[in-house]
Amino acid sequence: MNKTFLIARREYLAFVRTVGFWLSLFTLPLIIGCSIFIPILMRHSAPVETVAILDLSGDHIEGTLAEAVRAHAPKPGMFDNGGLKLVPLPAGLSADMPPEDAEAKVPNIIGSGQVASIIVATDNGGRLHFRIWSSDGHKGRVENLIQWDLHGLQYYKLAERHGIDHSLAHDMRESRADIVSLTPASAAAPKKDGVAERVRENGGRFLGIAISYITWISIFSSSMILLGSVIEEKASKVLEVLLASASTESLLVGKVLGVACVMLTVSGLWALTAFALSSYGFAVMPSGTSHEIAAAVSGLLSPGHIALLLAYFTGGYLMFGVFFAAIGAFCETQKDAQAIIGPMTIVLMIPMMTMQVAFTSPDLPMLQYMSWFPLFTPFLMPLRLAQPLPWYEIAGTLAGMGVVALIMIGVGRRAFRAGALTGGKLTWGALFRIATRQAAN
Amino acid sequence: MVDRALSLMGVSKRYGDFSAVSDLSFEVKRGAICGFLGPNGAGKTTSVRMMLGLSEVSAGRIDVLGRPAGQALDRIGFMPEERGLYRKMTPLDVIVFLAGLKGVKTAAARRRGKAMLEAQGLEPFMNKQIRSLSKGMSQKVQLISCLVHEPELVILDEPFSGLDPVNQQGLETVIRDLARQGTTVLFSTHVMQHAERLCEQVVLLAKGRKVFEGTLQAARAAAPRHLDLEGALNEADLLTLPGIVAAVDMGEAGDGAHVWQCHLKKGHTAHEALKAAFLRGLDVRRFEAREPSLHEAFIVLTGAGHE
Repeated sequence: MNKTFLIARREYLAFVRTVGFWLSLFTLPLIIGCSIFIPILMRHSAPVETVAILDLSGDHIEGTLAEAVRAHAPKPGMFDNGGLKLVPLPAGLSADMPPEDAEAKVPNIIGSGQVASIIVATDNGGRLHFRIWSSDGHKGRVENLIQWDLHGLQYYKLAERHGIDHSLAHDMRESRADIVSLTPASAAAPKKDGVAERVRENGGRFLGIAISYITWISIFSSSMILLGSVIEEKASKVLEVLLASASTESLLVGKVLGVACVMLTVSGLWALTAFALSSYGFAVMPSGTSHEIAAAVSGLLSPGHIALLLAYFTGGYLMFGVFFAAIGAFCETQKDAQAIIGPMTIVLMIPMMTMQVAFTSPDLPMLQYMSWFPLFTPFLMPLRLAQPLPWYEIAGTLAGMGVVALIMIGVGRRAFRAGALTGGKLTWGALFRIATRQAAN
Repeated sequence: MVDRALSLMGVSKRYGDFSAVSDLSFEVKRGAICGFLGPNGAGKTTSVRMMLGLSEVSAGRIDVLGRPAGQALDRIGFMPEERGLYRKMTPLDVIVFLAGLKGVKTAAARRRGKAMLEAQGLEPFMNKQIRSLSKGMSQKVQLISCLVHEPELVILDEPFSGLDPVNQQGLETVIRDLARQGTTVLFSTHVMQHAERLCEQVVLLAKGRKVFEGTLQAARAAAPRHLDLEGALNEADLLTLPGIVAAVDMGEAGDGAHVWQCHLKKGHTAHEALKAAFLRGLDVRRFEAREPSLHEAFIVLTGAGHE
């Protein structure tokens, strides 16, 4: 036990003392932060677009159009740049000119840079026709912002033609049916509105997918760390000295434990950051809402739920970690390991691909079947746990994963020893022989 | 206490149809220096791994320090043929870590490690990363790692390979000192000079089989003695002399004379051959009877000279 601890400690310190570790520690939060904020920044960093209106429709809709444009005027604030700015018609254009003349002049005006976009409204046999001219790179932006208003103008025009009162037409246009999605559990709970209720309704799914992703990332990263660590020891010829000092079990378990501690450190620091951020969020929220959200979040994770998540994570970590460590014992470079790692990475990618669909429909039969496959279980079951599951599914998947983990440990132990003492090339055949005990020890 | 540090009884190792070691038996007494000799591929490393329990025996039994192989690892110091250490760790940290795996407490390991590093002149490099050390320094650190837990048995697999003559001499001194302190040393090598200078006992391995076990004198006795003759001689005349089975012309010695190296048949003496040469009036101007070196004995015993 003492040897296992020493090996685990060395493994842990060897990793956390590197600059790379601290860089990688901040990489995931940085990637997540960037993926959220960069698109927002990009969207809002667009320059203010000047828009002129040329109403040739004869319906006198210039005022309504101007209102629609003004509704998208730039707002002050860090993320609220961009938007539309209404400008007077450039010289050479007027509301009484024929549409053909306007069409002939507009491209040159846009090209001269006097204005970024010009909306030309005409009547095309009783149907409003909007031609929105823009400079290169701006095409479609104005349309995206005001198309609802433009369609509205046509809607009201049609209503007026059929003698429908404007206010009635307005009500018809704005009218929506009430649609509520229910489950027996949510129907039984007292109905409330607001953020806390949304957390209670959808939090389980969000939490499920978040935990699935974290499990996947943690297991994949740990496996790669273990692989790299063993390859380094094999390449530097330390492995044989270690095997002459400690049992294969101590060595393997120590390494797996050491890397698990690395991942725990990472997870702990991330959790601490998340806690600090959410505490700040709660502090700026109205106190009633923050209490409700806190209660809803804590209700999502019961001790039993946490225990199951840990069990699935542990099983997955052992299955893949031990396997990758054993592979490393055969290799002196990452390239040597590619023949085996490639197919295993594909296996690891499959549950990743299903997560998006699983998020919206966690009860799909296909997902249910896949979660019974032990190599997918640790990634898909946390997702499925967001909904109530029959006990036999939980017990069955845990048992399947446990059996495979034990087989992996058994095979991994033999493979690790065989790999550490040989210089042979790693193949699936060699692994199979080791698994079936045909390889000489 | 058992007076044998190491005991191999009918040990074999097979990989499928290939037999790496066959029916190997020998013993090493406590406090002895045993040379485990053999050409490359003779099965030395495989045998060493079996002694350490790293590799299972296909047949036979190995006892190390009175226990089955692999069960007394904490009392053994081992330096493998392919040496290496954690390149990003400092020498002292590596020594403390490896000593810890052998059951030495951190404080004691640190104290002993420092003292041994100082003794080897490595004090200034104690806290530098191993990758910044020269190859010779790294090898010294490796040796210290192997000895820091004060093992009763030290197994060194090809310890002299890659060392310069000064470090080879240093290592020989270390081995002698260990034996003087009562530590048993077994080292494998295919360079006979080291064994010749260090060992009381040698075990010779060829193609996985033991071809000799015993003292250096006994090993030498297994090889033919030599009689070097200088004079105006020819091979045909020399082969008629009693006991001479081969005569090799080693080159001219001036004034029409040549140096001939004659191999004597086992059981015959140089005296008989010389006497006969003088009686027949052969032109012998100088002669020298020579004991075979361990290297020559090694070639004869392993049959390498005939391959």
